[in-house]
Amino acid sequence: MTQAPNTVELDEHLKDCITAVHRAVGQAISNIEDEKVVDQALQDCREVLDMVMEGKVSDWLS
Amino acid sequence: MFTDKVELKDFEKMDPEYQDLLKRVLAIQCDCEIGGPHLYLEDMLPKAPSKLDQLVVARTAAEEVDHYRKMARLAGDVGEDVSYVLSWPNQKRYVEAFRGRITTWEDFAVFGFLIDRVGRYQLEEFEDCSYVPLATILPTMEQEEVGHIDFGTNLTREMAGKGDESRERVQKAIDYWYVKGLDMFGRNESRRSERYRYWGLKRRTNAEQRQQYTDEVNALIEDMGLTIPDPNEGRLYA
Repeated sequence: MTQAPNTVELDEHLKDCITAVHRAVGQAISNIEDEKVVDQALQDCREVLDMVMEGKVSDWLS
Repeated sequence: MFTDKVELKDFEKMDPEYQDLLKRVLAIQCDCEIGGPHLYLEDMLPKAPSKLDQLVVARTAAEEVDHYRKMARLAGDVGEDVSYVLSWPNQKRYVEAFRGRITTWEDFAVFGFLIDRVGRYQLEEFEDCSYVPLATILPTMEQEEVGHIDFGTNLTREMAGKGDESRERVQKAIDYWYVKGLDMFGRNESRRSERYRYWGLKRRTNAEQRQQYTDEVNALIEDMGLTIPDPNEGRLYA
């Protein structure tokens, strides 16, 4: 079976993005009283998720 | 009826109809998974009522992206590139429910309550389906989907219990999403749905799924003290 181009690369890239968001959310929830940590985590989540939503796959994999 | 189990290595030997149907259902599933975050992320990540709620929005979106990733991997393995749906504008989505935008916390809650629940029904269709790699990835996805549904259901119930103004806002969201959820099951008379079942890729008819869903959500809506919307008003498919 011929795999579509970039299947593995896209999979790996998205895995990294998902892990980054989960890590940031986990840190924030463990330090929910620390406004600075929570704000930084939310900013990190936003940056990663905005990039995914933009969907510029050729840029990610170049 | 086709009752064999198909692995990736067997895919190319399968009937062209099977190949087309599998590719199609994977593309639609990918579009629905990524379509959710596209609806709510821009407004709800910064505007959810508390920082904890904002974190829940981020985690929910990450789980949906992961569902997209898993389905896109299956599609890619059978030669179908579905990366185009990542950047599709909402208006272009396969499913009408994903063509708008969520701008209120009430809509986010009801989306989880009603639309993610349709998502659970869609995933259930693939349980023990003929394409083994698809059946294999389901358990974690279904578990996460149930988490989204529970969050939305609890939040909807809480809003409904808060009094007149809050209850009116959440009723408005229910009125909007209820018919969109019903439409997501497709037409009652669908030849494609019949072929999916013939090939063992799906289990229930569109009408059966819609009826089970209606029974489930109507009981919950009534229990929350809200009004069940007219199931025919504004419907696209029946």
